[in-house]
Amino acid sequence: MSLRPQPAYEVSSRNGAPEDLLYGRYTGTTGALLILAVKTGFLTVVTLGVYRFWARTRIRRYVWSATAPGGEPFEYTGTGLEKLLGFLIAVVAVAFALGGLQILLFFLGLSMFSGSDDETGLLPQIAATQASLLVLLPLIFFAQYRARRYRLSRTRWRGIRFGMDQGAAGYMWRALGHGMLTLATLGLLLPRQTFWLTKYKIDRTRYGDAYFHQAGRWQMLYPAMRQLIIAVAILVALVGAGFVMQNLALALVGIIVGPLWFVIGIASYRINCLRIMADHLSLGRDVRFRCDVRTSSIVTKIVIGGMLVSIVAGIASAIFAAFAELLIDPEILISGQAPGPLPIVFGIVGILFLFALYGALGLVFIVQPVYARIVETTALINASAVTGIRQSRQDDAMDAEGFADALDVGGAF
Amino acid sequence: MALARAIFYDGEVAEGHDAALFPDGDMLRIERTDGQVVKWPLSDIREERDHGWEKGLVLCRLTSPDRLVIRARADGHAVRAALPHLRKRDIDRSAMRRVALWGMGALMALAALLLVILPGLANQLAPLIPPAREAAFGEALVRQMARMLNDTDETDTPPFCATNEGRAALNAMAARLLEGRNLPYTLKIEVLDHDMINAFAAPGGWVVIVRGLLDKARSPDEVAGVLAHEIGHVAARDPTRLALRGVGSAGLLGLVFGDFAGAGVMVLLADRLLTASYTRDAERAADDYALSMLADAGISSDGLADFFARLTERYGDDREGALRYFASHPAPSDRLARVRAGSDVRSETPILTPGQWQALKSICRT
Repeated sequence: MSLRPQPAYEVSSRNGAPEDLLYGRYTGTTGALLILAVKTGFLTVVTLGVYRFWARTRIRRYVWSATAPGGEPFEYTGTGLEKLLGFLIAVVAVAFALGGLQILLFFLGLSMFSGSDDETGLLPQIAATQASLLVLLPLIFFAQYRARRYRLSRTRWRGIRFGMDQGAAGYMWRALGHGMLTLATLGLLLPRQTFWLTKYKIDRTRYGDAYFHQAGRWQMLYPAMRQLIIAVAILVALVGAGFVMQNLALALVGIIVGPLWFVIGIASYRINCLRIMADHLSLGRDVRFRCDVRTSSIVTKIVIGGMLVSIVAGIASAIFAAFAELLIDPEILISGQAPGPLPIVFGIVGILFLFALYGALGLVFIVQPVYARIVETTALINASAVTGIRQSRQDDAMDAEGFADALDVGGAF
Repeated sequence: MALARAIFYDGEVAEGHDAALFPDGDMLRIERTDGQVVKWPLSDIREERDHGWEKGLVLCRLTSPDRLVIRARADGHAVRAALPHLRKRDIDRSAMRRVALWGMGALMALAALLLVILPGLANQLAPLIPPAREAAFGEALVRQMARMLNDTDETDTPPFCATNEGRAALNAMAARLLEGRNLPYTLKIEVLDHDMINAFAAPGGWVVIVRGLLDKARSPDEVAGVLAHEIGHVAARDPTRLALRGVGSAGLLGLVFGDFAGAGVMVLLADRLLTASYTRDAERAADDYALSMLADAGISSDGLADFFARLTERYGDDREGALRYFASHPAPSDRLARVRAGSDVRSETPILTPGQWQALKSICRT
């Protein structure tokens, strides 16, 4: 039985004419992106993080322009300078709130502290510090919406801009509400959350003067949860059976396999949601979409990419360690004296450079292959109807994605 | 003869048009196959950088949404050769001005927060915490510290030393120092059984002396000097103030450095730098407090000076250049000089009798 819902449209046109399909193409290569990512990553490290706005801009330019539905490339028109400006605006806005808030919460935690029993006594303390994250959560949803809006306003295809209507505050409340509902139902209403939040964003997204529209029902995403449900079932069944039969080995297998399967289940859920939602997505009156991406192909790419990352990172770390050993006399370390400033500077710079390399490796060996696969399995239906779409005005979005940057919710690109 | 073939997007409709490009004086003439002709000034034409499509070339015009996509590699070469300004960098002066303005604003906001508002808030809030709660928090921290040092199991009682004679000697020493002084908390002194030469203060009036310090001390005046220094921290409520301050600034630094790879290291370094500057000031103040305390109790500060001299001898004084700013304490030689210059009191009556001193030194032998 196929779990994939039937699409709500006919793929071939009425009188048997050839399908009017436009498949995505991805032309980026491992080598070119690796060079770009390592170069911009190093510059970021050397400039103590200031270059990160330009680094992200250049990476996006590369990925966008390598994405070419029907061979016609996307274009990213954002700039590093506007990202820096947005970040500065966000810093001024958030800094006071964040610094003051954290200190107040810590103070409250300390005032309520009753730590006669030492180990549990630290708990309210920790809880109070973590509470500041909870207070930041609404702001994070807000920032994610603003960042998406900024990215879309700087994206073009065939010379026509994408865009997104304002709605960050509405998104923030909805995301909070859905998130709490999903938590309260132990994840049973996760499809509802995914569907309505995606629909909220999609329905406000436009290409030129045409709006996207997300149709369908939230219940259609339940089949996407299949691997997640299997993972929980494995965990419960094996651990339960292990307890009943007094078999520790069985319970242990459940504890190891269950969570591993769950991780794959999360990837599977996201990919299946993407596919099902795409089948019910439309642009303007006539353009529709289809997506044929399969979980197995994506998971394979993630596993292979992960192995490549660890191999390359391992080699780089070994080279760094060898150099460090040459520079720092082990005698000094054993004697407990502080090493001189030169080895310390080498160590810090070397570690920062290694971090830059690690960041680049994940992008090149995991993110890009997965993204490429999704692009190439997605197609526009009735693609010729796109030619009726006209240009729209430019959004200003002066804060760019500053809030998202300040709150570390940047996303893959 | 056309320079190249291209697809022209007029920036108004989402439809491409086949076109041929011709150089035309200082203009580029774009002749669409449907007969329409567009002209772009050569000096305004730029190519899209960091292109992920190796064969292709995308041309755009400054402040205009129309585009030319050149697909063939040979056409790309011809265009690059004919158009001189493709890779020219354009500087957006108005954006630069705004960045400079907001940058100054952000810097001032951060400086005000880190140097004035957060420390001020911490100082205001610290006295509002009920001392009993603070002491409970301090006790939890002290136990944590003891466990870390001795690597004991969580259920074990921390290895505090408490022979009756040793405790009596310690109490006598504290009583002599505290005579005529009011502390915000009752002082709670413990000795921790470990070789490290150290002593520290924790929130709520806790002072912990590590046994290594007693082992190496040559006179009771030396221990009294260190104890007076730690009492100085207690009197100023330093541990609580610094904890409050640290929490606020750590969050802010995370904000500034964002999420680039390696940002964690930057946050750690900046945080260390910032806390170190806070604590160095607190250490100097505690040294001054210790000097006045010793003078009031009629005890020579030579003991404290000896202790710093020993620190210099043992760990060196070689914090050169920039690294100095990451150290949480002032250099021992500076502290030694301050103590030597600070006071010339001779000990009138010794702070401990030889018997008490022996009892204190063997407080951990049961």
